[in-house]
Amino acid sequence: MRDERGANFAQIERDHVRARVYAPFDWHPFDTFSPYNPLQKPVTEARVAFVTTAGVHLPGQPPFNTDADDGDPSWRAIPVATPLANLVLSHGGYDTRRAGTDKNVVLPLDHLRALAAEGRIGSLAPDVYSFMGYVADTDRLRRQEAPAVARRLLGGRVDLVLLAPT
Amino acid sequence: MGLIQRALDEAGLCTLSITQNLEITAIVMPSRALYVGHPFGLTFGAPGDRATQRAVLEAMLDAAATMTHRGVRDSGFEWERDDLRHRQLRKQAR
Repeated sequence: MRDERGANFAQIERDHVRARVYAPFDWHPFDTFSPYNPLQKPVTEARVAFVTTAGVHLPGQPPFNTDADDGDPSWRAIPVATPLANLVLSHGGYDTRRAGTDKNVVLPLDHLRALAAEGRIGSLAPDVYSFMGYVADTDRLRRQEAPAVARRLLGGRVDLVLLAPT
Repeated sequence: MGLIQRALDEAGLCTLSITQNLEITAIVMPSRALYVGHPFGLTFGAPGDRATQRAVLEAMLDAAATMTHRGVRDSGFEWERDDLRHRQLRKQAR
């Protein structure tokens, strides 16, 4: 973890957002870990869901709002069988041209489907959940949008949720 | 990402995330995270590098199955190809 030392990224990012995008921005700190809920069965038997903040969506879905100063806390459900070539990236926080050439770098759907086919995981949840990672005003994300995704995952009897940022 | 994970944890779900920045993870404190030192927007590796993409995903599954406490595990994945990550951490690149 050598690249982290002295980078002071949290302060650099906060100052950048405040100066250029959303003046009230600050991190939302916690002093305790969120609950750890152990996996109840082997991975080879588990139903696995995937959540990304890469700003991925289907062409027919509304794009994420990359113009809002305070970000966009909404989410999209994407059927797990969707070919990566059919997906679109809307995100202002990273250069999507790199991931656009191989979306597995942010949403490794080809590999997830292979792992399920090989029996390395029990099964995949029917949908991937996609957020756009820039959310400077987090109230709606924390109180409405993320809990709504949690309810859908619980309703789908998911055993394990993997989450990947960008 | 960490705030979403917290909401899922609080709902009772078993979660495992990737973190690409330990400082922010220390602020948000989600249950379990795997540190991957790749650039933002290249979370699982470089385009076309299927071996690394798969290996990062496998490391997530291994961490999900074997991390029995809250906190961060170092995956060992670091970025050697160029200085993109170094510049991103200083807001000199996207």
